[in-house]
Amino acid sequence: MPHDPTSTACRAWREASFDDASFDVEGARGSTALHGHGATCAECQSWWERQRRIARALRSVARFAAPQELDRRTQPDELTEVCTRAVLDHLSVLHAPSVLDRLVREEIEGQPGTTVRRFANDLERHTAPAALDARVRQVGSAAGAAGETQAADERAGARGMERGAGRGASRARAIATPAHSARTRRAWWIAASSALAAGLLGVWTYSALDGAPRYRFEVVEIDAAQLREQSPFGFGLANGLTGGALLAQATPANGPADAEGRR
Amino acid sequence: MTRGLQRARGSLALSGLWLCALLLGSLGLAGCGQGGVKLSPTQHSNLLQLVMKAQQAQLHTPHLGQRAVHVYAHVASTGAHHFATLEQVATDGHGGYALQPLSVSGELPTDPATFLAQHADNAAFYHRFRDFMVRDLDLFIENYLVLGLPVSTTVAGRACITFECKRAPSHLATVGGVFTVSLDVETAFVLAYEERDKHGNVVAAMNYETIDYAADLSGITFSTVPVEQVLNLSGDPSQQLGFQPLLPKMLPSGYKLDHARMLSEGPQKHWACFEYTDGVEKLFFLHGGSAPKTQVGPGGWTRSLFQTSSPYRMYVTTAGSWTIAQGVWDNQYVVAVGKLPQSELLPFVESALP
Repeated sequence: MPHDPTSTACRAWREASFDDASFDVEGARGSTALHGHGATCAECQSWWERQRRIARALRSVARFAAPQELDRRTQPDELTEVCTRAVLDHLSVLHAPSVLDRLVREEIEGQPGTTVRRFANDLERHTAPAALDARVRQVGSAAGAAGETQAADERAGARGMERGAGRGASRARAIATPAHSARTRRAWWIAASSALAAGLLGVWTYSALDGAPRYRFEVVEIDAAQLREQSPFGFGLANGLTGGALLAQATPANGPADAEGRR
Repeated sequence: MTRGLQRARGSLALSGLWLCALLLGSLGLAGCGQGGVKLSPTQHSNLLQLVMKAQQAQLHTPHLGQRAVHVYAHVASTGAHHFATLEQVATDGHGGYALQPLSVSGELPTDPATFLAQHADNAAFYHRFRDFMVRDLDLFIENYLVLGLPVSTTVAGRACITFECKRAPSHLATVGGVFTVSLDVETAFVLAYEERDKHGNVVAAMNYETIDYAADLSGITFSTVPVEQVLNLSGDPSQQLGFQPLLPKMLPSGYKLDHARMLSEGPQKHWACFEYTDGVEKLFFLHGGSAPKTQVGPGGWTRSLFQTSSPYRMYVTTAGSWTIAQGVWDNQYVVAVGKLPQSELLPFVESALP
């Protein structure tokens, strides 16, 4: 009866035999792997010897080192870049929504006001000092005594400096905020706006002055006399088109030479 | 004699009718202000017909006449220079022409004999390109405005309609000025014109002193425009030229390609010559391939100019309203000449480069 190589015992013994150290030892015979099921199963013994021959043949194959360029290219950074590029190449091109065009246009057309506004919004907010907060509460209480409820004034006073909301808080701020602080803040705003406007004006002026066209060739300007001397062909062509005016420009030193050349 | 008188009477009557029709038809121009208006078939049908007839009439109407040609060169350092040439001109109506300078006067750049000799050498060029001409009616209507009202005038004893035109305001970058043109009411022949630049300076003028449309032309030797080898742009022009011609891709506003020709200066030494027009003005772009050009023009190209300099260099000369650009691009010889500012001519040249 032929031995069934797919039997559970054969499969388990063969899988276990790969872990046998003798499998990796050249010339090892009578390995311990042939104990157990392998000692009694001719099919598995034959399989075992076949695997060892294959292993020996593979060991005899010379090794080739990978080119250094390949090593370099498989560095993580390189791979990341290649993968990123490949992904980007396969991405479909998406167009920005039209609203972005409008926003960008408004941003550009609204200069320098839009920049000033954005700059102002990005300024760090400062919280009021605790002493000022206490004074606001105090004034708020007085206002409450004048006819408004204490609770409402306290709530409004508490958030007055932060949000500027509430009638009581507004009054309190108007009283408690020193006048010179408001002036300082206003002056600071004016200074910042002026600096920004000056900067934008400078950038615009620089762009306008540097707006000379760029060509892919060097441009050398020469006058009519140089043109006549250096390239008679170009000169002749242009002189014919201008009815001789170019020749007159090329030789102004010779004129005037009034002449009557009637034939 | 009687027949001649009848012809003169008929001509006079026709001229009178033309004048009345033109002046009446031009009343619509009265309200157009200083900015000018485009010629329209409804408003200016008579003037339009005359301009239509004037197209190429100068080259193909048989005639014999004498005319004075005035050239003004405005040099910044020395001021304006003026000289005038009296020419005898004749055409046979079939492409033949005879242009002979009779006398010169004014501030000549050379001695009179040399000047007259050069004038004779340039006769073909002057005949085709120098004077005012409506070269393309569609482009003229599109690009030019008629200023004010046409008026009736007399030039060389002929009844004329004189009108002013200039490039449309949408092309302000163009430095061309205002033309004042007198057309023969009967033949639509340009009997006089004057060109002023954007500063109002007169830069060119021509007026016939005598003209005869029925002259005996038998004793005149006519020349013909040199046979042109038309470039087959729809096919493979490199077979004609020996190289693939560079063709400008970005034309100045209002210009269109008019002619594509091949100029030869010998075996394997050809130029691709592209001629553009805006209806009146001319613009040239020439590409000579990479073969050294040594024989074109009186002295040919000066090799040292290009060989010793950058391989990507363009030499630019400004003369009045004209700009001349010439140079090499990677050993490719190119020349461009036009009545355009440098800022328009150089992008035109650059657009041709590979």
